[in-house]
Amino acid sequence: MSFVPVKPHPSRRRFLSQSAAAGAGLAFPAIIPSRVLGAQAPSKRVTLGHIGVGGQGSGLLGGFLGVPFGQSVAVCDPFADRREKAARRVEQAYAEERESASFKGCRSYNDFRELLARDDIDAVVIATPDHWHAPIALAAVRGGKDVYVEKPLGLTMEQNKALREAVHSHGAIFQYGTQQRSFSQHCGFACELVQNGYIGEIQAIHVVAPNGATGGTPIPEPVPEGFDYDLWLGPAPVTPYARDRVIGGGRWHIYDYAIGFIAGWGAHPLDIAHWGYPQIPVEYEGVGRIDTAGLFDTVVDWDVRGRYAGGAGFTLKPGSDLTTFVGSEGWVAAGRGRQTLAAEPASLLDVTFKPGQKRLLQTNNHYRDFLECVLTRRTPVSDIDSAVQSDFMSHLGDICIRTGRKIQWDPVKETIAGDEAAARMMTRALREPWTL
Amino acid sequence: MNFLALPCRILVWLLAFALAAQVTRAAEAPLRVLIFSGQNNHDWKTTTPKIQDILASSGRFSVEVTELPGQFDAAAGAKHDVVLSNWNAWGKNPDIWPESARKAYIDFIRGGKGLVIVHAGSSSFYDWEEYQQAAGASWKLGQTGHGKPHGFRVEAADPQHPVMRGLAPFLTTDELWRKPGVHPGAKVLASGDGEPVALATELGKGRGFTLLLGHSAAFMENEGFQALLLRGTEWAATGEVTLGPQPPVDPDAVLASVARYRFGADRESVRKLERLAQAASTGPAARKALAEKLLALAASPSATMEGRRQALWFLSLVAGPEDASAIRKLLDDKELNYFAQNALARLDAPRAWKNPAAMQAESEAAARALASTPGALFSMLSGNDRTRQAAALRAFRAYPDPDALKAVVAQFDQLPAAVQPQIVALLGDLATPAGLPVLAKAAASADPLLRQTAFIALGQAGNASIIPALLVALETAPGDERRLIAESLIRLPGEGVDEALAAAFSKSAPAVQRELVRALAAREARGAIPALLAVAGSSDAGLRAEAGAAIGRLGDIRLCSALIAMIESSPDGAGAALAAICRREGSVQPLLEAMAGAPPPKQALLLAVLGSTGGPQALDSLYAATKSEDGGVRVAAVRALAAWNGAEAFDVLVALTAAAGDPAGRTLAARGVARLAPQVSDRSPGQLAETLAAVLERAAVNEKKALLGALGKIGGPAALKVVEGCANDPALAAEARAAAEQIQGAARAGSAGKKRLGAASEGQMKLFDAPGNLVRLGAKATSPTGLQSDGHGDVPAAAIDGDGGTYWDEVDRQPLYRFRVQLAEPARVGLLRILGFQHENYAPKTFEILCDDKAVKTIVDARYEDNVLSVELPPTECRNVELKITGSYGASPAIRELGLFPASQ
Repeated sequence: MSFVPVKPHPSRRRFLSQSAAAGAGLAFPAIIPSRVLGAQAPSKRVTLGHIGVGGQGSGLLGGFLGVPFGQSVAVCDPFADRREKAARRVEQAYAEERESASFKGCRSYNDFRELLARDDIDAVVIATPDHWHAPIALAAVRGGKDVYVEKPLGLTMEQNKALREAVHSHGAIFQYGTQQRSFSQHCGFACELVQNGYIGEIQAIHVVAPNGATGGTPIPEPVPEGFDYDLWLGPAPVTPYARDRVIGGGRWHIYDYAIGFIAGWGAHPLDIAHWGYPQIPVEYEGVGRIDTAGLFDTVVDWDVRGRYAGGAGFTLKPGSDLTTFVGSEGWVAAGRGRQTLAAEPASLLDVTFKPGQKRLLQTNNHYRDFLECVLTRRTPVSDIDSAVQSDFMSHLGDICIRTGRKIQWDPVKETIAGDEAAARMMTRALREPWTL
Repeated sequence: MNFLALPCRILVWLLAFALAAQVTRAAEAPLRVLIFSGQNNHDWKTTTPKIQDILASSGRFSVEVTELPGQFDAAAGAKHDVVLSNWNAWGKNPDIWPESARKAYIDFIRGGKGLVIVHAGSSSFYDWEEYQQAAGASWKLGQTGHGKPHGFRVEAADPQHPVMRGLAPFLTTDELWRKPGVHPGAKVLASGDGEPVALATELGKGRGFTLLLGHSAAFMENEGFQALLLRGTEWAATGEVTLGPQPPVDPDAVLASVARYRFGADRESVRKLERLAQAASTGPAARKALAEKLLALAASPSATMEGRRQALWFLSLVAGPEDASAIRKLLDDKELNYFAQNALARLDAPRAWKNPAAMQAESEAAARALASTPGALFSMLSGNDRTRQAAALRAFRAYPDPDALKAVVAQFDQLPAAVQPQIVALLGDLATPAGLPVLAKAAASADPLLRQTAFIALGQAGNASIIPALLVALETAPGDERRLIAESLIRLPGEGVDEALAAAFSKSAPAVQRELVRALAAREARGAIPALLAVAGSSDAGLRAEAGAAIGRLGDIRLCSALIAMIESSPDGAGAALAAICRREGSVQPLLEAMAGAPPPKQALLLAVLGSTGGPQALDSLYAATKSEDGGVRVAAVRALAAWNGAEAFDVLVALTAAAGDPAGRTLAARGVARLAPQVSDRSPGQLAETLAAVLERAAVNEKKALLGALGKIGGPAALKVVEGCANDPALAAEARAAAEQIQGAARAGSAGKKRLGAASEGQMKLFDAPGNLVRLGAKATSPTGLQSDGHGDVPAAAIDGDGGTYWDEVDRQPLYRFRVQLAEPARVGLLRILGFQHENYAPKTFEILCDDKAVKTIVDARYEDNVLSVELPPTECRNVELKITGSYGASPAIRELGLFPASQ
């Protein structure tokens, strides 16, 4: 079946029907329809701090600068040059917006704790290396701030649970960086087909994501001037500085800081799998490759197979970026690429939904959605509950590969059943003085 | 496949240490392997030594290699138990075996010995049946293929075969053959991604084992590959397998190796330790035994620090409570502190986290308690703690309490500004009359967020009484807000709303009247039709049209006579309503009846209505009217036909282009022909082009241009010929050229077929090659708009990376995209070239080109040739070039490659 170009869906903004909401009881009801915040900005601006302004962090900064009712007032990065550049960029953008020669009002920080201590900041955008996502998000939420957190979620499953508990108990707004829920709207369309039974009973979900990387030069080097390596390492063990740990994508493939692309990229198609079918498999077994040369030591290639409680199958393999839902009456596949929507029968692609059918909340701007939610206390499109679950799938895949055993997941107790060593892998210590 | 069997087996070896089988085997005479090598379309110079090494280091085999398998004979056969072919005749000058070698080879196997094939080692002698039968599988030209080497899982297809028994599935990275040619006599032992990768054959008394994996020496490092090779070779030689499914692991040797491990060295020993720990973790005795050893290593001063850390890390999987105190002692060592902490944390794990259901139950209970205490609720709402505000709002919303509601309504003004919009929204959702005073007040607020929220809430909770206030707001509000108010008018619940809206007409300004009409139509207020009919006769054209649309939507056939009576005063309003009703009801009878006996001007108006109703009856009537005696009626009929929606009117219009009399009618007919021609589907492009050529002959210049446009869309050689015939007419040259390009472009697109959907072709990429392409000399690309890159659309650098598979792109449907290239050094730029996403689909269409921020050229409706756009620039010395893109083909302007070339001297 060949892929067809995606048709634009006329309805760009859809509202969550209670029945379609995963964990509807936990979700805040839509308090103010978000179209309130139309072209005209509300009088209130959401003040933002950006923690981590490297590659992805600067992309997000640009995205948030484009939302009229956000105001970035602080940036933070252990690289002095990165944070200064980001601060200048913010001030220049606001100067241009105000048509004035200069604008002051964006402070830069090395240590995120100083940024979080400011009580004039409403929300923070966290785009740090993976091992910092949960600890910083936890500190922010406990300090009364709302959080936009890049994917993947926690370095361990325990971190996910801790963060979820804090988000719920503090009533914080949490948006996960799975931005294809907003920017690749055909994915939402595919999920709506699934949830409305257009492909019948779900028989299997197949997920592919790009495999990881091997290599990385482990030769120790002096820590560069203007870089706070100890703070960058934070809760991770101390190891000699090497460029490939920190610069470029190396940190995504080193087990001290991440579990590899099975989560780092897997997050995207797994998120779509969970969006369309809001549960996760209860059984996992898999094989994978872990390289022994160089710096990178996360699972590179993988072949994970699983089973959902209802009997549907699950596979997670390396590939492009695609989630395929196979049902008793057809299938639909969607991925991040613009051409990646396909279905059988092909007529499914022309479906228009009728009133009363399940619809998923869709926005066309992930950053704007977050800021609207900060103002209105609505639940964002990529909420904490689904973030935790889709990230669990990555972790369980990694754990079953590393143990070499079949893993049983207890979705009620949220633990690995009958395998103590595997259950222990849901936890890791944080280097002192950091805590969860 | 039994997965749990694997760790248990490793465990058994762990405990058994002695590995009795190995010992016995070592005592046996090694099996003698002869490897055929020296020629292969693969890198035999590295793979043969690797195979030799794998076999020899197992201790089970002795290995010889020949690079001249054509010299194989019975004597050589007698000295060996098994031949392993890493040789093939796939090449320019194959070493073809003499008959003697062929006979010796087959006799060797038939006589009861073994054959092993690795990867392409059998891709020879396709017409030699016995060779193929023994080989079992080989590369089959025209059928077999492979993708890039990748990671895939290999699993048993025949788990009971001696080679496969007990072998766990494994992941390998290798070249995976798709659809290899498999001999019907071969038995598939293992598969990878559904393709056969290991097979067994029989020939005479001999056995063959074929392993299609092993494209390169690096891929042979895989343990699973090695297990298959070793066990398969043993089986081919003897018919039995004694070698274990995993190489034996000696824990002490692994630990000794980890004790020497230094950071930066290969982690093979660490990885082995991980497996040992994982395997040991499932058995109490093995767990204890390994934990003891790991603790000793972790505390050993003679081991490397990195080795001790690793020991502690894996101790975290196997440690028991009895190890805690020993681990705690290691906390004092700064270098080990983290790892000791980790082991202790995991000893405690899993920690109890509340599960979502418990959390939900807890939060519901708290919310219910809070909601029934209005004082506490109000004080939380009016405090400044956002978390508490959120909790209070959530409780209020979930369990609205009448007393709390009263308190909130009475003291709304005292609530913090951040909470007010949320209370307003909540009152809207509750739809209680008690909240109306607050909503009305909020609708008049100076805070836009509060005001807008109130408008939405009024739409849910209001009633007819608030219509006057909403209409006042509608008159003065800014555009966005007007839309919200209008939507509220549509949704407003309660009795008497339709009547109140209809009654408000006479007192309202025209802009408000339009919204009232829209609201009544959306509310399906049929009772308001008389009022709408009055508006349809208004002197305001916009209002007439709006009312016409509303009546068209709400009315039925009974309204036709009233509308026909109005048609002269309201041709737009009443006409549109008539057309909509007749179209929906599928009947034009009232119109035809009215036509008969109507004065010609009225007939003309009714014909215009008929033109948009559709249906054969209307078409016939229009055609009849083209023969009317009245000139005005004739022209009106042709005009209606020319506007007809569908190809049915095409032939009539063609005929009318030749009708005597009315020049105006002929012109209209020709325009209609040009408009409808691309929709005609019941004849070939050639026939259609012929028809258009005839119409073209007799048309005036403007209509000729339109017809050329139609020919461009129709395409085909006949159309091209007609178009080229006009190229010499100066008045038509431009249109003729555009049409010709369109036809040629479509032809190319057709022949390129699917390829265009993928990445770029070689020919296309040549156009962006260095030398000359300035972006290849260290240029940097950025997109200063800061939009989100879309899907697989990557960073801006993807557009200057020389890879046509990647592209820059940003989020769809933005008004402005900027793409900027900063050159490493200033250059005199004279040509810009773009490779779009697909030919005129997702590609820049309308843009300005700026050199050093000065506009040098504007491109409108860019015409790509085979997905490539080349733009000559006035030679400009500059450091950066920017595209300011305001229009795109498709929803956004993807760029696969961008090239900048110097101006010629």
